[in-house]
Amino acid sequence: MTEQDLRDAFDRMVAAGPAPTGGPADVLAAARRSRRRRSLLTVAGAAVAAAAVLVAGSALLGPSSAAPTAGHPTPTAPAPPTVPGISPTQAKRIVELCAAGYDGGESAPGLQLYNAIKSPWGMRYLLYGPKTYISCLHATEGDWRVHGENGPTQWLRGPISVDWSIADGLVPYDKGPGVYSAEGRVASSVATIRVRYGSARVTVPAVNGTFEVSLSVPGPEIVTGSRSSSIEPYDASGHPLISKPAPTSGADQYEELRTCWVTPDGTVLPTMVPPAPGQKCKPAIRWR
Amino acid sequence: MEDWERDFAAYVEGRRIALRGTAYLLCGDWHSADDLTQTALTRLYLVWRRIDRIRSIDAYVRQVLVRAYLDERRRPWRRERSAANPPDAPAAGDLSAGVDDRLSLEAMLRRLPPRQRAVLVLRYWCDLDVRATAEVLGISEGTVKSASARGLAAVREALQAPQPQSNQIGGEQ
Repeated sequence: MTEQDLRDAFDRMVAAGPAPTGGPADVLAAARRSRRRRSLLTVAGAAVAAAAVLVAGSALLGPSSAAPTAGHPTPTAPAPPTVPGISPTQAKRIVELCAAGYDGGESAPGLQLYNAIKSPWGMRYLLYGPKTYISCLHATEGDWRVHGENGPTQWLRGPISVDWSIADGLVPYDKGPGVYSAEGRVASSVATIRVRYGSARVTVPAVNGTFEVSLSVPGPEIVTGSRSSSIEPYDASGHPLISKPAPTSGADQYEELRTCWVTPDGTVLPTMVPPAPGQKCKPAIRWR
Repeated sequence: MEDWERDFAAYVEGRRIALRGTAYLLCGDWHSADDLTQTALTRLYLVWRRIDRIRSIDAYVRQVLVRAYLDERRRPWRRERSAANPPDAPAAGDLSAGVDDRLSLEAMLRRLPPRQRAVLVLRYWCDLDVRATAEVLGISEGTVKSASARGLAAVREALQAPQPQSNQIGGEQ
């Protein structure tokens, strides 16, 4: 095979693929709303999620502050998480299996099970450690599927942090019905989380300062500006804890991406767009 | 839509297909290719209003794409493989005379180390020279040359190897 043969082979491989569905407008809409998969635990994930799914409570937090120590609750030692329906022994075994699948068990120290739900594909478990987030699916086929991120988990950018979401069966080439899944951490003020994807919606309770949802969506739906997804936290009285909907214009998104968050010791949480000199950051919220 | 967004959409219109093809050759399935393409274009969207500071838009977005691919490949445990996303199967219309070569090339590409595969794609699909390839990948030109040579050799070796005729263990009687 010559170099030209390889070029020709590449041409054939690409030409044999399916044509893209949607056009530049869909790409633009998705760019506005971010990627399918996102994580707030990484720098890129933080920016993308801010642009996509939800306004992380910036309006709730009030005026920006350069020295925002007053905005942080006093840290208290949280009780170990207990997940309804799962015994401590079972939880320990789940942690072992998930950590083994994630990084061979290196992340196991400090890792705890925070949430569990039954999804269409099996039991989904949500685990956090001081510097690790792991999501684990014990599939109905019997195997374990794991994903996660490394990064500090103690601080939230607003009352809710969507650490992962995915729309399976709901994107081009999939015909649906599909499932929109999302999970993450919430502040102690959050009692319920309402999740919407297109025409489908569900409300789930906060469990151990986390949420986890698998939302069945009846048909193929591509997330666009008009049929968007949203994840909104509410307090125990049913009041929304974010005061504006997800950004709809590029300008709004850009402003959201430029929002910075700072911990009491002055540490600025990672963002894709570095804070400008002198920019006032909002107080980060301690998670558990 | 603001003016800069129209400019962005026009760029997407002109480049998306080629970018998607690059993504597919890198990752080997169209679902992931769409994700990678969207990732790269989203990153581009975020910096578009500062685009005058970027020397080459094509080079920037290509670099984002390739590095996103390599980053994901370095962390395979983070990529949950869902039963809802089965690997791509060849479409019915693909059954041309060259399908065996194509499939075997695809299979061979999947076996290459990610960076070696990226070198081949950048050199022989994107038609980048050694220097530009090295810049995209953040490696030396010598590494590009050696990876390119090894990759081509692996392709030749794989395509010259006899293809299996049967899935039966022990062969035909």
